[in-house]
Amino acid sequence: MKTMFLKKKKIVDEVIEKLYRSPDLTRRRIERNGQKISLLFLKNLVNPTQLQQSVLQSIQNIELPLTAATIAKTIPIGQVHICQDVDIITAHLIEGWVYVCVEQEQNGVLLNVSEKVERSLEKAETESLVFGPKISFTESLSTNIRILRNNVNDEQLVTEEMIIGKRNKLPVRIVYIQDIADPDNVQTVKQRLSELDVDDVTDSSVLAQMLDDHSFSIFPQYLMTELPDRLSYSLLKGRIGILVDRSPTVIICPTTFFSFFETTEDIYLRWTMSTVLRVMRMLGILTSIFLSPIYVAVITYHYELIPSDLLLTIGESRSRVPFPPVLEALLLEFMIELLREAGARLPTKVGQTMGIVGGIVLGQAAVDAGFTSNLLIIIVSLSALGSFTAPSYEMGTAIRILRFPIIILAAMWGLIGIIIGICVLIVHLLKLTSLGRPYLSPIYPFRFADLKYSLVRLPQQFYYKRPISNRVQNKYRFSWKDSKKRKDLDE
Amino acid sequence: MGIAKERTLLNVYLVMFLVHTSQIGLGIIGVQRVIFVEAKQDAWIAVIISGLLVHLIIWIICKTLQATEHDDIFSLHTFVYGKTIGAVMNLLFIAYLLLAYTSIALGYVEMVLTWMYPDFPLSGGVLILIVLTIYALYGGGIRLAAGVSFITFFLTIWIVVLMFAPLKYAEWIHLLPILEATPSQMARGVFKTTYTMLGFEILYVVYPFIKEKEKVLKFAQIGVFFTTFLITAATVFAIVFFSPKQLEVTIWASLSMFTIVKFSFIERFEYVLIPLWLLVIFPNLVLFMWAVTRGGKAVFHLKQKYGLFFFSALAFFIAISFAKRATINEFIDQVGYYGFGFSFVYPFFLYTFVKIKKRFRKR
Repeated sequence: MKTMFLKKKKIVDEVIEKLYRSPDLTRRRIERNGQKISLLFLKNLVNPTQLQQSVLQSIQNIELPLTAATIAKTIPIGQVHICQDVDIITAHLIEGWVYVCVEQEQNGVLLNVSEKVERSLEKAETESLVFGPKISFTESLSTNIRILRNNVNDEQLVTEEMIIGKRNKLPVRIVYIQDIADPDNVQTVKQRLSELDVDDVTDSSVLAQMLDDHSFSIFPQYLMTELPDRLSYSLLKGRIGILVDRSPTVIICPTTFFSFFETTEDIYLRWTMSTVLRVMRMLGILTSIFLSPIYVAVITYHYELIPSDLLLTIGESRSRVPFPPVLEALLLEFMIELLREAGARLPTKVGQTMGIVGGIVLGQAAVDAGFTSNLLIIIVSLSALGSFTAPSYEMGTAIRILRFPIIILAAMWGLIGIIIGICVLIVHLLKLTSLGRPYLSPIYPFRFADLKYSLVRLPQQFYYKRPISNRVQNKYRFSWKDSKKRKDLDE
Repeated sequence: MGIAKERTLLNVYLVMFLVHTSQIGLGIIGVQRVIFVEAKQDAWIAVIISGLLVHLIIWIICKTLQATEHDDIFSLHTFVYGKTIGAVMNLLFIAYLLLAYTSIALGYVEMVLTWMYPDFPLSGGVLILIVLTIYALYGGGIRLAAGVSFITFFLTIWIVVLMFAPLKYAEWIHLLPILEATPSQMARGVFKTTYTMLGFEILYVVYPFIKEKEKVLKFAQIGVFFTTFLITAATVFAIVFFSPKQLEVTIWASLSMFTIVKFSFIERFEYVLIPLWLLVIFPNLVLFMWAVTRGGKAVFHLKQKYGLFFFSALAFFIAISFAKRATINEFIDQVGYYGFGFSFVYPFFLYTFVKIKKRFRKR
């Protein structure tokens, strides 16, 4: 509209003004047989070889007379767009397009020669695997879509685009498999994303927090993963993924509590091993939450519980400790948290040294100085180990934090305090939802058939049905009967 | 009023857990002595008889609820007795539920104080339980109550396995001679068992929230059967484990039996059991308070979330007015009588009234 009233002002000048005379904005004039053409682009955002070979060279060779239409038709570039609206032009220039303006016409063509900042594909860092595919998502949305399409070549795979962020626009893709994912869930995701009214979303993890059902909960409500195989596995089981530009982690929803304790390795290993590993992981988590509170409760209130032989050992190791058990436990837990946090902040090379100094030297010295008992060192290290077995970094952190209030409850009311903590925890988990779906599924609401997806593993032929909790449209993966068919002995 | 929204409906199998967990509570810990005093070595038969009685009453309750379109006790009362008397009956029922709630909280806190923390103030203990209930129900409702009873059931059911540990000291001869109790002794034994069996009357309130109503009876019966089985087992084990004289003075027989259970890392298992028992009574508390708020909604048109706070405060004041041990026991006994009336006698009358009223309506 603007162009109509301000006819005298040229598009090119307006664009230059609109971009606040950015020093990167380059204007290249070409003249062919008296026809003036201007090329506008931001020099850091375009691919220079493509600009030279595809754009400049071919403009030199195009038949005269030059019009926006002929350029658009003949230029060897994928994305082309004839346009004279200044706002659209500037929006595209920022993304690395070139605007070719035919000055006589006051019209021009937008050409996509952008080059995004990108790193090469690497191994997954936060979710490390021993076994199975190693590739991980990167910060580029288009690369991520490419990886995903590579993994799932079902034509029912939908990748819907949405733009989030009023000021700093962020392309987001909702991916799901059309005939498996629950349409209600898809609708909820779309609605929540479109209702977001923010100026800027920094990362997918920030987006996940904005989508949370219960923002005051300690537990993460969406699974974040950087593993393409995990995403494709989840999609095929009826979940929905949200890919976010500039972020290597993908949001998977709806999520249940137990999916935070699954790894893709569970699927790749034989079912016997992965069942054992899963159970072990669960025990690790329980240890991590409850072991040090139990120590505090028993030592403070319930000496009777400890068999006399053991009591002797404990008494001996605690004989030099001047503090009450709570203080001792909190002190050591705090120390371990410090170690972990320092290790996470430091560069890897220094980090190792610090691990040795902190872990071995400090621990030994604390016992020698009579600050803590040996037993508690074992307990605290065990519970730290337990929390590290959580495959999800977010869940592991949540569990480590969870320990502190329970230690305090144990110090206040002993074992009853711990049980009160358990009650609160149960109620809280029951109240939680992810995308409006129960968080504690398949335990409550109880879905027996889904237990094989979350708590244990079974041989492959039992996975003929997709998980019910995801409310999939297409329930069966393959026919149960066919998988049971056995030939006769000697056939 | 009885029509709940589609999404809050519960799967029918949950009735099993709702009925069972609301029945099992404090009673099973100490009921053996009470029955034994009345029916001697035939105590376990008294338990079975009262169990059968509960099966019958469950059937009557389901019949009553299915008879008309009014599918919970509060609307049934107004239907049968009219507005005024119906409201009075509803108030009585709410009062019973609230007193039952208070008696559970008091009983548990008293046990904890006796065994573990003699210095802890009783009111503080009750307050903690009440706050826990409020936390569970606020924003949760029946879905939460059902979830709590389902999960806590599986968190505590393994204790049953440990019940067999004391059996290596069992003297099975204690059970003989069978059927020595006179009918009146037996009747008193049955009566004493009823307090332990209470809780199934929650069905009157839960019923409209169940998805497949025609299957409710079946699952409720399974729940009751399991309860009866557990209490019978606990009674039999107590009879064979203790000598008769010993049992007569053992207030918490189940707990005392568990003193036998030993692991290489835990001595005195009963000290674990008492805290764990919180998980057993927690669904009781949640369910009864939930039922009370439903009643408040029916009678006073009080929103459940406000009723929750009001009735919790009321329960707390009732609780602290029974601060002494003796009064607590008396209070619990009184609630037991009240409960006997409401749960074991009243269903028959209500059923008859509903039938009569229905016939009148038709004419």
